[in-house]
Amino acid sequence: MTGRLLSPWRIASAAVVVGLLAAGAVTAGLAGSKAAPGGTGRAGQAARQRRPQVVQQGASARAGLRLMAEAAAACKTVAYYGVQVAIRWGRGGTSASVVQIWHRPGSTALAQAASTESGSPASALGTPQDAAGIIGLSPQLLSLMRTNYVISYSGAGTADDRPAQVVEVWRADGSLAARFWLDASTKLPLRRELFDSSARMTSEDAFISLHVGESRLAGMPPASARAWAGELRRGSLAALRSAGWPVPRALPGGLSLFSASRASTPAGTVVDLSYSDGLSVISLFLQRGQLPRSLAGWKPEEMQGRDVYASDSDDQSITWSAHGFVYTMIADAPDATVAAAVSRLPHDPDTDFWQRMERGFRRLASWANPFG
Amino acid sequence: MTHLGQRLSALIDEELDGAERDRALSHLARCESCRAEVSALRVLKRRMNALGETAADAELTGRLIGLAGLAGLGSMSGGPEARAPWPSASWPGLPGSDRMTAGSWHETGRPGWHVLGGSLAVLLAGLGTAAFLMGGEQQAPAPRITPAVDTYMLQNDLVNGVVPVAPAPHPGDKPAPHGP
Repeated sequence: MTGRLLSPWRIASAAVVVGLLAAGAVTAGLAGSKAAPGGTGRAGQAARQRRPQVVQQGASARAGLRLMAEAAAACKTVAYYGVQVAIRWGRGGTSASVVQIWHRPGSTALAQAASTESGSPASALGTPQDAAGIIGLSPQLLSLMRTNYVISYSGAGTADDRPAQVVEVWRADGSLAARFWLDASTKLPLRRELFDSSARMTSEDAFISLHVGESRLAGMPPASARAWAGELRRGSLAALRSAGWPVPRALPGGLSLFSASRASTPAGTVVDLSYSDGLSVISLFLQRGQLPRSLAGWKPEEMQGRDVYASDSDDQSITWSAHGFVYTMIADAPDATVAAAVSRLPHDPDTDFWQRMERGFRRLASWANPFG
Repeated sequence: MTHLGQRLSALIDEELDGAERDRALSHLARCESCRAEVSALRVLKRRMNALGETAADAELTGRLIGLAGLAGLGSMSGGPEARAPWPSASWPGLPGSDRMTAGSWHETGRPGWHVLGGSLAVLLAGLGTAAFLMGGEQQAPAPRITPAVDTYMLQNDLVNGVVPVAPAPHPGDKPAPHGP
């Protein structure tokens, strides 16, 4: 089925593109360049520039908002089949993946990561289950984006050889946070670049092939799963907090809790809390218990002075346990945002040797006290 | 089964509140090893208490000092009959070293400073070890959980508006959780 929709030539082309992009990113990193990796020409120059503190709120802002609202609607209503390339620059190096996407109007997009071959040693390809990096917009995310950023229409451009309208997203401090290329005819997002506050590109997602309409959806594979049905509303979250569950209302960086659900597993109840600022998304999974002494598939890591485990295959997955809960974070966010969120959440206190001895002596002294 | 671990000492010290204490006692009723550990810790605590009381016994202290030959030490510091209570060889060039002759310890037959120093060292080492063991972080007993990260990534994708295509099942895959 996949072979009928995605020809070997197309996969080979995608692999070459991914390899070249990843190799370029590694070369840029080795050169110690402060420029945004992969940012060439106009995009790279703009990322290094600072917009004036007072962002223009005139026609460009109104046009930007209108276009993004149309893009969020198009993500729900336009039928398409396409292939996207997703590249990340994180603390674990560069990762890239190629993903096929099918979408029928009114339903959730279906994604499948394509296995690719690349000669670049820096290319860590996504696993078949990993559909991260899909350019998606929803009214909910757009609302959060409007709260945390300034959206502005930048001008015309092209993406995937299609005419596009470019919308930029700016932080309050005047730094560029993201740039979207929206298809001029359908308003579907064709390309997205995300930047950290140092104007360094953290991710780039782009269609390398897009077929609008239902003609390519005949062989659409079935969906694998449904989202957890146990949606948690405000009252349920309050009840969880009363029962001792650590359910933060927000995470650093303007990330607000926008979705919460619960599922029952053989190992107990798992709570999924999703936070976003409109651009980055962090899902936090909570479960009562503690991590085992050895954790296969994870490597110990220190993040802002906190001891955590990062997934071997994906440095955006982090876990640790503290105060009787296991925290697992799945992030689609810049490293700095992830680190700030990790440091804000509960951790067991670090106890050095002398603190431990002091506590022990206090306890022994209390035992030796005949009046104790 | 998860044992009480460091919470045993808290139980013995009666520092657990109602629910925690009930859980701990319930565990003790089922767990022979924890019961044995509780007994051992209670004996240790009783002995530590007894040690505290004994320390105030001046008569016993005097007897111990006498046995260790510390009376000689007192005269050495102030009187003309001072004699080193430790075994020593001659120390050429040192004033009075001619009196520190080899074999003096054997002559007295009393270990003196060696016994006292050794006892103190053993006591300190024992106390240090006990303090280190007792000073560990006390965590409530909790089940060991390995994060089902594949399931979590799937849920994360679904929340973000993307449904991954079902991968071919692998033996040993964890079952996806079901909503309540």
